[in-house]
Amino acid sequence: MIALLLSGLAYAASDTDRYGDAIVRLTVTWQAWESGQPWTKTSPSSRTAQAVVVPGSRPGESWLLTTAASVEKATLVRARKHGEPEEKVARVVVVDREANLAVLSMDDAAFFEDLRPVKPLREPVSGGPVTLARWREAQLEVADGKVSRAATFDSGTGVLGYAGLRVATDLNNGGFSEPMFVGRRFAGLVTNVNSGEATVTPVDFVEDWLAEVRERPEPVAWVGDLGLSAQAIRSAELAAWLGLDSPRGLLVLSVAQGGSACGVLRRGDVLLGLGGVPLDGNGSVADPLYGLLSYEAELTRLRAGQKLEIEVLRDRQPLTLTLPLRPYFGDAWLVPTDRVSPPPYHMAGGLVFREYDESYGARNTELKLIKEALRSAQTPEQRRVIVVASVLADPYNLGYHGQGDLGVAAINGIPVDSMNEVAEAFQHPQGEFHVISLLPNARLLEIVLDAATFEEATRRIAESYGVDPVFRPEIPPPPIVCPE
Amino acid sequence: MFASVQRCLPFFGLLAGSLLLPAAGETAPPPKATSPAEGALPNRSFETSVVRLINTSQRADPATPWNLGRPKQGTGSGFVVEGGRILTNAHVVADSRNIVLLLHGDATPHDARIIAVGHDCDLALVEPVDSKLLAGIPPLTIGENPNLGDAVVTLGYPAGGRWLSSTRGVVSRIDYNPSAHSGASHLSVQTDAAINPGNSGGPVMGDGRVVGVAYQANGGLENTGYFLPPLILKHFLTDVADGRYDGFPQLDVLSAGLDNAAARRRVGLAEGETGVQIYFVHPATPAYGILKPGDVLLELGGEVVANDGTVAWGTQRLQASVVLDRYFVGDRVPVRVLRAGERLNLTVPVAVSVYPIRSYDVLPTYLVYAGLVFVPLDREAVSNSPPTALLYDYWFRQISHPDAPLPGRVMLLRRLDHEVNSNLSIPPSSIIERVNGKEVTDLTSLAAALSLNADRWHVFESAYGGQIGVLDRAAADAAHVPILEQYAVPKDRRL
Repeated sequence: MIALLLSGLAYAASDTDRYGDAIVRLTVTWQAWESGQPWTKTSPSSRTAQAVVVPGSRPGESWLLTTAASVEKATLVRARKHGEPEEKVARVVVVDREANLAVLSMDDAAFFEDLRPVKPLREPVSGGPVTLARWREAQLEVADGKVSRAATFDSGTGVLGYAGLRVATDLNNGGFSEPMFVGRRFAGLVTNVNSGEATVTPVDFVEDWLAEVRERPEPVAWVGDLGLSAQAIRSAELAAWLGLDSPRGLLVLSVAQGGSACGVLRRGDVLLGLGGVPLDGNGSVADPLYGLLSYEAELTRLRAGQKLEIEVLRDRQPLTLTLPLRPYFGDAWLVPTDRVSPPPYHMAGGLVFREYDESYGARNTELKLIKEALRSAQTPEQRRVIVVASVLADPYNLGYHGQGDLGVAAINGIPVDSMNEVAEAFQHPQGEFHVISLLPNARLLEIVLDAATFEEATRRIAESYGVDPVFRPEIPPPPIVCPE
Repeated sequence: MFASVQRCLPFFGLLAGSLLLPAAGETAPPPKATSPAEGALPNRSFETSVVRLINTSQRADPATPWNLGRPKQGTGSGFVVEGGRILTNAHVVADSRNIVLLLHGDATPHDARIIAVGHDCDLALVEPVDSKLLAGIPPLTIGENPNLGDAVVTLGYPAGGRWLSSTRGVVSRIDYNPSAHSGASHLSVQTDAAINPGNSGGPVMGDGRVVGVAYQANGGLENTGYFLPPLILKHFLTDVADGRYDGFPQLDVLSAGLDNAAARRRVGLAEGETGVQIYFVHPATPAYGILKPGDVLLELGGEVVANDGTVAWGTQRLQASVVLDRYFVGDRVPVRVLRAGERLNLTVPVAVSVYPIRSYDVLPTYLVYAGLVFVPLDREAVSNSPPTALLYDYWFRQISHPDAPLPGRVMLLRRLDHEVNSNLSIPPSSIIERVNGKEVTDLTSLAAALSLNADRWHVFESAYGGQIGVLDRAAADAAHVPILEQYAVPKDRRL
């Protein structure tokens, strides 16, 4: 036992020299919103993660770089460096869920005095040996690894995929921003570890992102996206039918409102290339660093805000179009991706209204059916789907107890697509009643409530069930306009 | 809430029963020298009227619908009723190729054949080919619907056993349950008397009369067997008396309860008056145009409908649609509705549900072209955890289109991989909306869209997501027969 401990110490000592002064350990207290009761949060929990020291935006300033997943839903982030018992409070400067990266600052600038920034690797990571490192208790743990392949993977926190590396390693239970090194050079951050394979966001991606964030240290959406639903052109027959000489490119099926391609591409177009780089029959492009990448992953290597030239076949005629590359914009979808901000809701007469989003919709088949019914894209009139998530049972709403997960078409005859509109619609009862018209389902056509006792019942139910406040407004997403 | 559409929906309620599928063929060696000699049988008790049925069935594999399936042998029970016939469950004799009948205490197998089958209610009539076989066997008399707590005795041949078995219990609940065989709901009685596979089709006796036919059990619960009560048995026997089975009628409307006082006031119900609000009437039903969305259904078949959609049933309450078990297809059911402040007495002609039950005894239809296997989007297609889009399309799309029946749908079931089709980008279990620019509503219109196409390409467009698949027509035509041969598909279609 003692021998083991000693050898462990000896092992750690030399690695501490090499990496220890650039890595700190984060303790993150986090809490999620209850999806069924959006006025409350789940029981607080905590996670540990790693961060590396990087230069900040001002001369002499330092930041801690970590993954967005590490600080997701954080209520408090504390950083602790090797050899110090005390944890110091860290502040999130920027989180980018699509890039799965975040930088933090320390209230106490002296925290960085005996730390030094990591030195990024200047050349792309090739297939050689790498080292993964993290603090465990007071010891630095290092694990060997070997880059096994380049791959496209999900951001983990966002929706898009981007290019990164897979690393075969014996690191266990990782995935919380453990830094990867080649020699002594910083080569990436681990976002996931599964069965001896780590997924690593490579340093070139990280450095590009950091450069952007240093220039503009504010919330960014940085990863570009076209906002397309498209079909690969894999077969010679489909290619020939479209007027192509060989299977290549992507057949555009639909274009998201608010996405980069909105107003530029349309259904039936064939996307043949990005900035002169041709797409193959799987919709992939040859990246000089990573080999074949899906076109979405390749776009993540471009920056939102850049102009992108695309090569298109429309009505059998080749065209070159230019579009401003916009970031992936989850709000552009009728059913938006999971939100991290407090979910808007309204409790009215015991009915709990909330927005339909991806994670809420995954709860059951009936909710998934609502999505099938609403396949159409977002329109300026309908930007969101509102659902009655549940009914807080009270004599007032007898007859609707146990109902929930019902899509809302209109309230008192007024179509609603935001929480503010829900609240507003309850100001206009239909005679003696509030009438909530529902989207097609096999249980109810509408919910009818008494208007005269509505306010009183809402107050009583709110008090009884501890719903406070009864309304969390929604900041409506920016108007979605596609240029013609 | 009594709509038949509702209870058909597979995801809105636990299917109460699992089928008492006939037990596998008998495996136990015959006991030695214990068979009673002919003539030594007890000559009065109703045991002699209970028979064992051995059915060799064949059910086509849904994944390869041209494959008629592996023959399976199972046993069930049945009993002699008036007219020299044997009443049993439909599922005992479903998809039959051969039926053998064994009398109580008789070791000789006799050929039997089906007279009538009602798959929706899970009942069937069979008879021995030898018309004199049942002479001298007293038919059992069908009694009245039993009451909660009544003592019952089951008789049958459970678990593949060759000899009659009897169990005892009480009526533990009177209910309205979907049949595991068909998905259709009917009046159903629960008992704690042990009901096991092989009991299916056997009589449940009370006071010397038949009070039910054992048909399913709930494997997840203890002592929970179900039998079909006399209302259903007599309905079936009356229905088939003319030699044809018409089935049980349904309304195919959706309605919502009116437990909420404000909701009742809004629809104009008077104090003490009750009902449910109809909000969808399937446009393919005879009720369409007679019942209207917005109507409040006050009475169905003379029974007052409560705000929760139930009617009084003996001393208890059941879903209102149980009333329809008293009616026959073509009957006009009296209803009383509240419409725009007026109380109207109407009669509604009723028919079988427009949502077909799972199909038996018929071979599945399909069309194979160049290795693409197409089938209709039917109850079978959505019964086995299908993609959500298929569920939506089958059960919900019509609700969004209340004014005209939507045409049928065809789906690409799978692909028999071949170089001519292997790059087709439409995944299996996709609804095919258009072929060569023509809307496809059934296999016949699909076949026409393919055969009438003179273009160089066949173009397939899927619904939901709208992926497009293209085949080279000449190459597909050339590969068509070789693919059938390679995958041992005897015929390219059964329409």
